[in-house]
Amino acid sequence: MKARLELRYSPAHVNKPILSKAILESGVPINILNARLTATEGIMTVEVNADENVVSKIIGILRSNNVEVKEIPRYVEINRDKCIDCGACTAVCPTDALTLGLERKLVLEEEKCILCGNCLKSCPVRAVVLYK
Amino acid sequence: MDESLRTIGQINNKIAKGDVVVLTAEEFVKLAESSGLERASREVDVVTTGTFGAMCSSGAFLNFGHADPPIKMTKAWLNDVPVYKGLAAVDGYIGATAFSETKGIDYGGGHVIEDLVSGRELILRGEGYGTDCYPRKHVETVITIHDLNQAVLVNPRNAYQRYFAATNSSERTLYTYLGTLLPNYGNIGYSGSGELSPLYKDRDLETLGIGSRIFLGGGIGYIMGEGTQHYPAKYLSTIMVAGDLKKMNPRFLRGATFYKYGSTLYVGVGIPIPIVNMNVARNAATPDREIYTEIIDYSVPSVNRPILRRVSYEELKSGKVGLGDRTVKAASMSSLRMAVEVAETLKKWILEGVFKLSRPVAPLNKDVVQKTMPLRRPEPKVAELMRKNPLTANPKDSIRDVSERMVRGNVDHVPVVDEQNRLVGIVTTWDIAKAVAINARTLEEIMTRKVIVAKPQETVDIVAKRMEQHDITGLPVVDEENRVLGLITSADLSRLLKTQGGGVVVEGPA
Ligand code: SF4
Ligand code: SF4
Repeated sequence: MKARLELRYSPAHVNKPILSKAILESGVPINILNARLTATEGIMTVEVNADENVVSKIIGILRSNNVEVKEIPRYVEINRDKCIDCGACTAVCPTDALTLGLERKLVLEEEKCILCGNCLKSCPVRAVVLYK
Repeated sequence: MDESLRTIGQINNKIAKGDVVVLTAEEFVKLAESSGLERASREVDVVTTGTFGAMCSSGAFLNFGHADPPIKMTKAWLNDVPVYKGLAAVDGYIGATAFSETKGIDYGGGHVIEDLVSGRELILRGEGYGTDCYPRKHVETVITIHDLNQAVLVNPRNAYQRYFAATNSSERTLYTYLGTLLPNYGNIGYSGSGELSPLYKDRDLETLGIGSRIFLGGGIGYIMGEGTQHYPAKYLSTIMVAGDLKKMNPRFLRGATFYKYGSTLYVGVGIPIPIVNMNVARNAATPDREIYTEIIDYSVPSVNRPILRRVSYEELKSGKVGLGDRTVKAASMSSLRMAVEVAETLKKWILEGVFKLSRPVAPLNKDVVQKTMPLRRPEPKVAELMRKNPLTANPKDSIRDVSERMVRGNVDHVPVVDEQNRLVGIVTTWDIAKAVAINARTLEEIMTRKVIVAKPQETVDIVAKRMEQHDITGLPVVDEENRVLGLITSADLSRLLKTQGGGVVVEGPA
């Protein structure tokens, strides 16, 4: 299973190699999709490709190291009632998660999304919703 | 004039009898390619076109009816979006790009129009100065489109024949009316429906004209005349259109916001083209690969932006365009899927006999050209405002030495130059403070090497905008050889604005 997690930690823990620790202990690579650091906290979105029990183990390791962990069921969602299939979002999507498919209708391949957020701003009718 | 194939009267008779042959422009292109133009033009009576794009020059005249006691509104708002009130007491015009005084560009006139057409409730607020015949000074109420006496969509410029494609050579993301343009030619934004484009499919403006009945916003509209900035010689024709908003459909009128650009209205426009002669048929059969536009670098702050290359709508619609030695993603701001739906809907109306073609009462002007605004007042240039012979330094200079000179000269910015006085970097008081903290000794250890500059002939408000974009307070002024001529700072600009009350020039043809 592919799990996506949102990690929040205070800068006091930034220098601790928590991720490497979790990778070592679980033996599973953790893919960083997105990382932001603000004055008060660090926010990271990561992806783990592993069995459910391994994923919960990783979550346990992170939590015991003061990292706030939230599972993200999905990233972006297209509001089909609003979307006009212009395709403006496709040009700014770095991973081709958004493309125009059959009959020029917008197709979202969620597995490809890295939550960069480009599509949110580029959509003129605000049809892309960030799943938080 | 080509030999006549059929007249509009004959077509309308066939519509009445129910045996008219109608194809969308896409279908007609295919038929002409498979069966030949000759046969296609004999078989098909009408070709329907469509476009669905952001059309900023759109809006609606509204009549609110009189309150009791009545008010002569000099200012009015719908959901906090200002309505133009330089008209009679309760007449107003809501423009697509007007925006909410409380929500900003996220909610604008385009959204007001969509909400009206959707039958939603809106808050109307009005103010007046009170007269003997209109004693009331304030009004606040809730209205829907059904309460209005008239709601007429009147768009001064719609349905550009074709439109430019945009890219961005700079290192900064640009937010434009052609969408988000990523840095370093990261993508291409374009607009227009190519082989479905209503005005391109009758590009010699032979069949359409003043009074032509069209599909507008899901209802019926009429061409009032040439649109603003109409420029037929360059195949940049436009039309001014009007139609009863009360009978339109929110599916084809959508409020929108371009991030960091503004609010607007997506409008569905479709025009039926009667295939009256071979030239009209030939134009209507033009495929995407023969419809060209130009890719323009929107990072250049001028109306005369450099053209990078010509490109066909076929290439644009493929989503991948070659630019130099790279392939760049292209995306449309207008919706092709919706453009097809407009053309299909219009086709259905004609086949069902509910839409008849009209003969225009006069043709559109073909000689008009698009002019630019004359700038007849002197505009302050960088050269006039910059400080000449500014304090400069060399990369090897010691930080202590330079900081002393900065204090003595009372300056915050020091351009760093080589022996030929060519710009190689810049240091600010902030850099000096940082240098002390990290124990740096010479300028080259701390200077910023990528310097944002100004040219002497640039106007001051372009440079002001550049400072704002990069969040900086001073720019070295350099000549063509990158030699430092002067320095211009935000302090210099605010001195000027105090005496002038200047602003920032914004260009917006969309
Ligand atoms: S968030 Fe980024 S990667 Fe995901 S769909 Fe949007 S543009 Fe693509
Ligand atoms: S930009 Fe918005 S409206 Fe256009 S295709 Fe993407 S999600 Fe749909």
